[in-house]
Amino acid sequence: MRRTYKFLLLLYPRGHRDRFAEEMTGVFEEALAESRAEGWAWYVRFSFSEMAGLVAGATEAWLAQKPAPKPAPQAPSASSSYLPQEVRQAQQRVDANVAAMVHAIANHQFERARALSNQEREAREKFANPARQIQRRIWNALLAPGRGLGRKRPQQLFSVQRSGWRVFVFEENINVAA
Amino acid sequence: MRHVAHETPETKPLSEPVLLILTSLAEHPRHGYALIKDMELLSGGRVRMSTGTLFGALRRLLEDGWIERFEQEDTARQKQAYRLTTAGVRQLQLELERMKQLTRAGFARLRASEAI
Repeated sequence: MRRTYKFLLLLYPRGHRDRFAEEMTGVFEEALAESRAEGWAWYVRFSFSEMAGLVAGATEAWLAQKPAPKPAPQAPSASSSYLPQEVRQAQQRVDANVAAMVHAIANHQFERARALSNQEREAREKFANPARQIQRRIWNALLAPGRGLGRKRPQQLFSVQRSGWRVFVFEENINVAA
Repeated sequence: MRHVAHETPETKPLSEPVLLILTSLAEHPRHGYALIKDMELLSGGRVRMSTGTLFGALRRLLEDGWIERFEQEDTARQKQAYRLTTAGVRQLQLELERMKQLTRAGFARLRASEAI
């Protein structure tokens, strides 16, 4: 009878079993001992009631289970959207490596897990300091020839003074100052 | 199908197992087997709940926050026991008030019909 009860407990969702199976078995054993003392007719009635209750309870527990939330797609978050493209790619590589590493460990493929761990460390180093990456980009942009600090200062061709207005004419644009 | 106006979780009538569990725990905290025995006593031997039904109801009550679980020191071993939360006490009071009102109305109508 105990074996049947424990077997039927397997019908319940894992969460319910983890939470209540031990306690349910304890309560069942107390009730079973009492029903035996009350005679065979009571024992048969008790057995049927318990088995039917378990099947109904398991069905209800499955129906009451909320579906697990689906993982959100890996879209760049608002906080990481400012990062340079190569940093975001490195971040994605790290995420993929970690997932593969977990899978390898779960399957006892420790050599593969170690190789993935090395790859993951290399990728992580690339975006270890996003501020440094951004700083390097800004400097490159400023010092690049033809842009920022590397840019040649536009030459003023001439300026025209009118009542209250002054017009500066440069090589590439015209500025008007009041 | 029942049609009840403005049925909210607070005003929704409780099922018999839930009402019996809450009533049993109103006295003092109890563990699983003690709950089964007390419910049998409360219902005059009419209700003898199976463990499947009992723990299904306990799970729902825990999820609703009407009862809470705690370790109770027993002479033989540690047992999980259950006690009412403030929300559980409130639900039980509401349900008993609802039943009292219904009982009064029912008896009043019976008396009126006998008087005719």
